Amino acid sequence: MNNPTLLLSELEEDLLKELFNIGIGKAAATLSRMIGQEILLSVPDVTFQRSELLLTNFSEKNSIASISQSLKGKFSGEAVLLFPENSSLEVVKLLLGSRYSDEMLADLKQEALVEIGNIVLNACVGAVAQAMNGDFTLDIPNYNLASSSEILNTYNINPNDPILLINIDLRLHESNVKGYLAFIFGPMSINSLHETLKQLIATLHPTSK
Amino acid sequence: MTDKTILVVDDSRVSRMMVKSMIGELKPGAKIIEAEDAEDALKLLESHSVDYFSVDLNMPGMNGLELIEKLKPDNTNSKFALLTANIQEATHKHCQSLGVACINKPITEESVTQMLEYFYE
Amino acid sequence: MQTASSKILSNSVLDIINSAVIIIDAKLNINTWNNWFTTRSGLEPSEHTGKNIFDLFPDLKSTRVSDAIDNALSFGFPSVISNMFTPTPFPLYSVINFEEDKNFDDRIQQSISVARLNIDNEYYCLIQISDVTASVLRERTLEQQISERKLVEDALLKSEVKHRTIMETMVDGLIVFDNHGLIESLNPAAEVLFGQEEVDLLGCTIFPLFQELSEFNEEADLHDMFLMENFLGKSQEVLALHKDDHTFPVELSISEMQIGENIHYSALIRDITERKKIENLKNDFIATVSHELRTPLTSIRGSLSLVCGGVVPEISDKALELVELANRNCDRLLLLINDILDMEKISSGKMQFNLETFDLASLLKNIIKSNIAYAEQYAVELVFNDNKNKIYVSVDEHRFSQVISNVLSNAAKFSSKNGQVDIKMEKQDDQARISIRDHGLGIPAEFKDKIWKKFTQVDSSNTRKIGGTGLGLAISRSLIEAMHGNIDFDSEENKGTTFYITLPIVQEN
Repeated sequence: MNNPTLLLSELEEDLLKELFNIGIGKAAATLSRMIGQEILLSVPDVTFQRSELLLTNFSEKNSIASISQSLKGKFSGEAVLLFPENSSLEVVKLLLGSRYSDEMLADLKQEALVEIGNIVLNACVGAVAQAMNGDFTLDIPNYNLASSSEILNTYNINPNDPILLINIDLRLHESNVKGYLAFIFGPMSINSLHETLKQLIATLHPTSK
Repeated sequence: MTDKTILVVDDSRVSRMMVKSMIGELKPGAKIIEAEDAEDALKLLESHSVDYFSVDLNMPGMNGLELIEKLKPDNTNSKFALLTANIQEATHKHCQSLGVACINKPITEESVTQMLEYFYE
Repeated sequence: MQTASSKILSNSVLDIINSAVIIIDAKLNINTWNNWFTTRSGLEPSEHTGKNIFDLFPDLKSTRVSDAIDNALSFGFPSVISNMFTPTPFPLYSVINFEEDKNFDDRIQQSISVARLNIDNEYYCLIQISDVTASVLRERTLEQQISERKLVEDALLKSEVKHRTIMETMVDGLIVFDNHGLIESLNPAAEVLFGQEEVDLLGCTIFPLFQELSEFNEEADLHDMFLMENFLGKSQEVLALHKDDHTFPVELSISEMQIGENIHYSALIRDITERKKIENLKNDFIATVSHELRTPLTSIRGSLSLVCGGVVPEISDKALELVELANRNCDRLLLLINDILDMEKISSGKMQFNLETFDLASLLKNIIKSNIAYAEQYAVELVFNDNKNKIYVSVDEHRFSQVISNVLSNAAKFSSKNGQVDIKMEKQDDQARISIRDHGLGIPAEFKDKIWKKFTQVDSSNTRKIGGTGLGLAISRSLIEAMHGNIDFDSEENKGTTFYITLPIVQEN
C-alpha cells in the first residue's frame, strides 16, 4: 500500500472536508438545540494518515476517551470520536455545566459522551451517505477509555494502516475544545472511498484537474 | 430578462463547483463569479457589480454573516443568501434581522432551487 | 401495517418488558405502542393509530427526538438519547399519582433509544423509553449531600483564601514544610528569592536551600535541631542558595504549627543582601575614617606625652594638669580607634591570629598581673584561685589577653570599692572554662542581649562616671569565637556578674 497521504487530490480532500463540515454543522445544530445555546463546530482539517500518527495528537500521560460506531456499506470500518480525557470532561461541563454539579458530571460523563458521540457520528456519516447516495449501517455507540498506548489495540488498528483523521474544533461561549474524528477503514474500503470521491467530483466538473 | 450576476463565496472549491453547476442547470442565463473568502469577495466587487450573493457561513477570517453585514449598506438593491449546515436559533434570528435568506446545506437541487426562488421572486 | 404490528405484539415480550415501546411508520404515523406506554400516558393505542407522532406530541418537534427519528428513517442509524440532555420529552407519568392533575414536573425521567426496523420490506421506527426516575432521584439526594458539604468547604476555603492572599503578596519568602523537611508550599516571594518555581520544589526537602541546613536530612528530628540551632521563634543570619549556585545572606526564622495531628513548619526568609551591603559600606567607611584619624591623633598624643614627661620644665603646674588630662583623653581616643579598626578587621575576616599552645593557668596569671595596677585604681583586688589543673589551650596570646583584660577591667570598674574579683578555671568535658566574678552592680536583665552589640552602654550615665566605650564586649566575643571559644555571663542586679569564657582543650605540644 503506497503512502496514503498521496491518495487524495486537492479537490477530493476539499470535498471530504466540505462533507464533514456539513455533518459537523448538523451535529452542532442538534447539540445547540439540546442545550439552548449557540455552539460552533468546525472542521479545520481532513487528512489521511498512518494510524500511529494519530497518537501524536495526544499526550502520553493522559488517557483518551472515545466513542465509536461500526460502519458497514460501500466502505466499512469504525467511526470514532476521540478526546483527550480532560477535554472530554471539559466538553461535558461546557454543555451541561449549569444543570449539574461537578461531582455528578464526573459520574455521568460517560452517558453524556456516548450521546454526543452518537450525534456527531450519525451526522457525519449521514452527510457522507447522502452525498454518495449510499446505504450504510451504523451500530449503536460504544464508549472506551484507554491510555494512548492501548488505543490502537482497542480498535484493532495496525500502526501502518491508514486512517482518515478529521480535526474538530468545538466553541461555546469563550471556551474552545479540540477533538478528533477518525475513520478506520480496511484496505478495500479505502479504494472504494477514493473511487466514490472521484466519481462525485467528475459529475461536478467533467474536466477535473 | 437581463442576465443577472451571482457571486458565490465559499472556502470550499467543491462547494463552489456544486453551486455553480446547479445554478447553471436551473438558471442557465445567469453569470456566476466566485470568491474563496471575504477578502477575495471584496476585491472582486471593486471591478464587478453583483445582483445576488450566495455566501457560506463557515469561512476562515471574516465569516459569512460578517461579510453580508459589511456588504449590505453598499448593495441595497442586491439580495443575499447565507448557506450553512448549522442552522441554529441564533443564526436564524440574525438572518431575519438582516433580511437575508437562510439556506440549509448540503447543496442539493432542492436547496439551490429554494435560493434561486428567493433571488428571482 | 396491521399485520406488522400484530406480528410484533404477538410477541408478548413487548408487554412484559419494563419500558415503553412505540412503533411509527416511515411517514411518521403511529403504528402502535405497548401496554407500558399506555399505562404511563393514559393514551390508548387504538385511539391514536395512524396519527402523525408530532401532531400527537407537539413537544417533540425540533428536538433531539425528532433528529433521532429522522436519522433512523432516512439512514437507518440508531440513536441514544440520554436523560441528561433531554430529561422528559414524552408525557409519561408515574402510575401512582396518575389520577391527579398532571404537569410537566410530574413527568417521569426518561432515557430513550431509537432504531429502524425492517418488517416485510417496510421501514419502521422503533422508539424505546425507559423510566430512570429512581436513579435520577438517588443522584439528586447525593447532590444535596454534596452541596451541603460544599458549604462547609467554602467556609474553610474563604479563610484559606485570606491566608493565601497574604502569602501571595507578602514581601518576605515563606516556605511551608512538613516534619520531614519536605516542602509543601512556596510563596511567590520565595520563588523570586531562590530563582525556583514552586512546582519544581514541592516534595523536595528544604535543607539544600540553606548552607547552614545542608547537613540536615529527612531522618532528623527537626524540632530538636531547630531548637538547638536557635531557629525556632528567633531569626538567624544564614546563607541561602540560589538556583544559579550563588549564595546570598538572609535572615531565617522558623515557626512550628500543629494542624490536626501533623506538625508543619513555616520558614520566614528575609533577604538581607542590601542590608549587609550597607553594613559593609558603613564598616569600610568607619575603618577608613578611623585610620585617617589615627595618624594626627598619634602625633598629638606624642607631643602631649613628651610634655607630661617633662620635656618642657618651664610649664606651670596648672598647665601640666591640663596637658595630662588631654593626654589621657588622647589615649582613650586612640584605644577607641584601635578597637574600631580591630572590629572591622574581624568582621571582614582580615584579622590575623597567631595561635600557640599555652598552659592556661600561667597565661592567666600573667594577664592578671598586668591588670593589677588598673584594678587598684578602683581599690579592687584580683584573686586567682589556682586549683593546680594543668590545662592547655591554643590561642593568640595578644588577642586572648585583650579579651581577658577587657572582662577584668569591666569587673573592676563595676565592682564596689574595696571589692574583690575572683578568677578561676576548671575543666568541663573537653572545654576549659574560665570564670571571672565580681560582686558589683550587676547587669540588668533587659541588657542581656544588647550587651554584645557594638556601641551599647548599660547606662550611658554610668559610663560618663566610670569611662569606657562599650565596644569591648562585642570585640571580645568576636575574638574568642574566632579562637573557637565562647563567652557568656550570668548576672544579678546589685549582687554581681560572672563572666564565663570557654575554650577547647588541646594537647600539650
